[in-house]
Amino acid sequence: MTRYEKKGRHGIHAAVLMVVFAAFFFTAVFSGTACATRMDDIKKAGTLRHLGIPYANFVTGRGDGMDVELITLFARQLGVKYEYVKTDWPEIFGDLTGKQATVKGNEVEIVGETKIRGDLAATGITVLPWREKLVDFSEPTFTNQVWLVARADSPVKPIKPSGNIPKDCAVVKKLIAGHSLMGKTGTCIDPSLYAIQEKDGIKIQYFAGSLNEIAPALLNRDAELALLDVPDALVALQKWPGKIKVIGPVSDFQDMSVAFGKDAPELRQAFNRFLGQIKKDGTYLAIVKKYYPFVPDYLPQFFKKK
Amino acid sequence: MTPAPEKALRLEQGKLKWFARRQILATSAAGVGLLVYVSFLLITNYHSAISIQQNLVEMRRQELVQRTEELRNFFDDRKEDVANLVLSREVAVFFENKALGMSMEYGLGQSLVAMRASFIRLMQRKKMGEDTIYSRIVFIDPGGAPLIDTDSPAGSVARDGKSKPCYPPARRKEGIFTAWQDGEEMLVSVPYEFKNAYSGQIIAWIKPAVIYDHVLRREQASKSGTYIVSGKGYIYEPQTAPRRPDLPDIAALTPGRPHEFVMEGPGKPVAMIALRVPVKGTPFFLVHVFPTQEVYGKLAPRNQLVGMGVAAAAIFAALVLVLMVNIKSMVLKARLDESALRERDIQEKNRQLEAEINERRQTERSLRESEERYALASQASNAGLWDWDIDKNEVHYSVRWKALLGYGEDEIGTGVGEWLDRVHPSDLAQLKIEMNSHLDGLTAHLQNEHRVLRKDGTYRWMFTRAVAVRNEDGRAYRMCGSESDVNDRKEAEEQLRHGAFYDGLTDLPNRALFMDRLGHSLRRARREEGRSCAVFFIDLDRFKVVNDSLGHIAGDKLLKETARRLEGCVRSCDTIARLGGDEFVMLFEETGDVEAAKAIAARIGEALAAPFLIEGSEIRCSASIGIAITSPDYAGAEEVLRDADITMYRAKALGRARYEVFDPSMRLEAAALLHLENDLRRALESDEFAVHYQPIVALGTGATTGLEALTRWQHPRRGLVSPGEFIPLAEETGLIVPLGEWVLRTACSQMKAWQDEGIAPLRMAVNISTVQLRQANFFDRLMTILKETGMEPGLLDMEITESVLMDRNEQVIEMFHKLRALGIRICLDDFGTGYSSLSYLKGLPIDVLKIDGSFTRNLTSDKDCGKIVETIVMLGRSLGTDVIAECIETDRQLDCLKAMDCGSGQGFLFSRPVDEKAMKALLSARPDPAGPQK
Repeated sequence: MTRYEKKGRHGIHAAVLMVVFAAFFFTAVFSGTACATRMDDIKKAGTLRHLGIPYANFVTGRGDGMDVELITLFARQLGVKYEYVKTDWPEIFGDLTGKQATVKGNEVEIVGETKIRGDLAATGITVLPWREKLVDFSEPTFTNQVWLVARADSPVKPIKPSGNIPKDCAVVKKLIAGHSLMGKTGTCIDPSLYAIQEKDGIKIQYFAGSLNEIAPALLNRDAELALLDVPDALVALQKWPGKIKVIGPVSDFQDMSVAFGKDAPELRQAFNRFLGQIKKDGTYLAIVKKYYPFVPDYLPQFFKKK
Repeated sequence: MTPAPEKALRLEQGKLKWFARRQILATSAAGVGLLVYVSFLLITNYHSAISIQQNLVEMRRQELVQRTEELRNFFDDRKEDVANLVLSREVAVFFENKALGMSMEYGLGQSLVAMRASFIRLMQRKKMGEDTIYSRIVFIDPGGAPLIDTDSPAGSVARDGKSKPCYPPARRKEGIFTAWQDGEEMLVSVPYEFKNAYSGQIIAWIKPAVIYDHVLRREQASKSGTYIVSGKGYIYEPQTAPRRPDLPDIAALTPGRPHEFVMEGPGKPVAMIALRVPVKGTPFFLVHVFPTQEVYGKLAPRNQLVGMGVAAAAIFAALVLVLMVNIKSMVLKARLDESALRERDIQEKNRQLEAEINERRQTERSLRESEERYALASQASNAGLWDWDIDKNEVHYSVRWKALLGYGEDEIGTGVGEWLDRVHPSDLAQLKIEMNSHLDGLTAHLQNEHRVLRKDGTYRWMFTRAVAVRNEDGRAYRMCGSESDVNDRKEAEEQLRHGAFYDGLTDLPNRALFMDRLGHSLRRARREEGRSCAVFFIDLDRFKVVNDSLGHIAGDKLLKETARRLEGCVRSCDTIARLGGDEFVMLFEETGDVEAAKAIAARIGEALAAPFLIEGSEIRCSASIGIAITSPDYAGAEEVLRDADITMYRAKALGRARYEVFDPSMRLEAAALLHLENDLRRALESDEFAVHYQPIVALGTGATTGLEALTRWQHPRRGLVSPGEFIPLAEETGLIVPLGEWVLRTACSQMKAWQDEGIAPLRMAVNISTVQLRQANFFDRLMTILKETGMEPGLLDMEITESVLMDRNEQVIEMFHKLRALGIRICLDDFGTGYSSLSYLKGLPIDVLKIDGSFTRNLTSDKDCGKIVETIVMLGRSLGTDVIAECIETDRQLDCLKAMDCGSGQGFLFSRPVDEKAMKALLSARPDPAGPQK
């Protein structure tokens, strides 16, 4: 769908459209800009399209979420309307960049083209090396770590932290041997990202449902162990106390950020400025506390330094 | 002086003396009386003053007692606050996670933060007026070490062990106590038990100022005041009131008795009274001090007594006479005044009493109306009602509530357990969570669906909705709600959900669920290289025959039994579904290997090979199986199913009771079949059909007695297409109606033409499809054709299949009777291949039985076939019908049939079906043309 059709969809009066269009046209002609940037496109369309996937409390699927609020505020600052575009993990980067890619470990290969459906993607996206090859990321909006979790009755016991995260990760990975492990491709809990392979009796199961359903699947005995990121694990620990235990980390702390197409540096810079401003005036922390009330206290090293 | 006047004077003097004596006596008596009276007045006055003072002190004491009650309630609320905190979800979550061995760094720290946040929330929420009640809350472990301290930053206590010092000693008791730290601290403590083991203690610091400002709240005057004092004599300092005076040794005071002392102050010393009352259940006392003057006035009773005595004596002498004269009136007046005063007092009290009575009546009436309304609503409502007095922890359950659970009115007590103990264990935790959320004020009302155990031992789904009543501090002290039975709705929802994904007959997954699982499997296979699964498309062979001959009920039973047998062939991870009719599909996960799939297909074949016993009949039923193995090339589940379907048709075409594995060429053939259907429509218009004729021969004489008209399709590209290929297609598409009519018309015209050309008339047998017979106007159409072609009805044989008669369609049978009346014969084609009982033939309008070719072909090689043919021949004889054997190909078969005395036959031995020209030549060359036989 072209930008022009999109406006029609939003029911903007044709006359207003003409005026807006004419205004942009003259601006473009008289400023001497040869080609419009993505930022120009957004302003012309009057809408900022937010690509999201219901996941933890970033996008709840009920019309709110931490990232929904952040991007709504950002759209307001840009003076455009906010529009939520629902997508899924396999499609999200294609929907953002218009390029279809296959991923193996941290390698990506562009295999085709697709339609661009969104201007930015914000849904608790972890910054991973392969993702950085496809998109640009904003300053971190959240921090993350991937944990190994098990059912309470599992013989695998939680580790004793050594104070050194890489050392803890190595101990945890050794514990996986001989067990089935659930993960999800295309997300930060893909075991291959942490060099966990099907050897030493490890049986890897890729989960087809949404990230929010991994904990219930684990409780349902679909696998003995599962990888979960911190936000999801915290939700699961609150939801099923005494039924799920955290064994330990398989990754160091990772950043979560908003993703932008590589052709949209202006938009990304505008977002970074916006983020800096709301971090300064306390709006950012208030939004975080609304959706993750305990996280700022639990991870002070991330939230205090901002 | 005469004795008379003297006497009179003496008498007068005597009278006067007597009078004076009397007067003196009277005056003396009056004086004494007055003295006694004044003394009496003084003593009475003194006693009343003492009594009034005691009453005033007692009133103060009563006020103080009342305040201690208020204070006690306040402390009870604090114990409850902390007890609720102990029971909170956050505390439970932390200890559950700790018990699982989780570390602070990975998961447990989060639970601790959540627990601390719940403490902070309590501190912020619990307020009196604008002031928070608690200044600090800590959780200490059994060793007395702090786990959480709201005075320290989040996590710092647990992580580095640093915290503010001076915790009170760990105690395992619940209650209010004090501890020394820059003055006596006021503390409430509740122990925590995890899995019945003492696991620590929550201790909360209460701000004494809050008690002064909001519980005692009466103004503290400059000299009088009320103070909280600990058992050790520590006096808590009020924050906003004037500085407290120097109090006497509180510990030495007798509880309840007034203690008088003199307070030295900036001015002159003041006589004071102190009262002390203990606050039950706490280590505190309330002490009330006030100046004596507030109750005694300026003069003490004793001084008053002396003063009044002296004054009375002085006045007594001067006023003795006046008193003597006036005393009576004075006393009377005093009494009168007192009486008037009392009367006024009584009137005032009466007025107050009356007002109070009126007020009470009004309140009682409102209460009664309210109770009546509640009782009426309770009776009228279909829902059971409950009313929980949280302070007393008693629940009133309505009669209807008890009835919902199957209990009588006296069988359920007033405990919360009467309800919660009956809630299904799986639903209880959620109910408690939602209940606590509502009690904590997090939700507007409580709403929950749960199962409750009834008296008869069954669980039923109930819906409860309730709302808490809160006091001014927001604490819930009562919760009322209703409970309604929603079991039928829940079951209906479950059935609806089940019905949407399961087949009603076999209880197997239906098409929708199967396609979902197949789609899921395909997506998984796309992600995981080398992973594929197998899809089986299974169709029962000749199921239609069973359905037609034994009825739909038997057909359904066969499908159910088939479903059970197929279930026996799959693993738990595989899916088996019924698409409809006699079509089943199976999905075998991780079975991408063709050989493995074939092995499963063979197993299914074996499972279905054993005979089915349905309604007393033994039925053998085989299946044709199409197997498709998934590959990443498939775009969706529909494509896989389509290929398995195509393959199943191939298996059917190759002779049924077998399986085939899909290869891409089959897809081309299926496409060809689609083309065939289009071609079939076109063929009717472009005259591509032809009628061929096969002679029917009297076996005894070898003479041709009739012909069977057979349809042939000359396809412009494919050449001659077999009827076995296009007739089912024509029946399926409804094209059989115009095609059948065309054949009938052609055959009739031909016979008439031959007759006109001088060929002796023969019977003409034409196949009529079930679909044609079901046409309402079939009889009229037939009559029109006979009329238009000029064919004699007596020469026409209509060949029908058994299934036509199995329906026992009265209209069709009546039509057959009408046709027979016109001389048309009804022939039963393919006889012996159905499952029907032979008794059905009795009374039906049948003229000819045609033995199915499969029996004739195997006549000489299979003993059983021989017996069947012989039986049919005998049956025909006993029913009085002709018998025609089809497909006679060898002399041996002919001899055999002759030996059995079979009347007629047809087959290649006599002639193949030939076109009208060849047939005309054959008929013209007949050595001995025989007439038609009826």
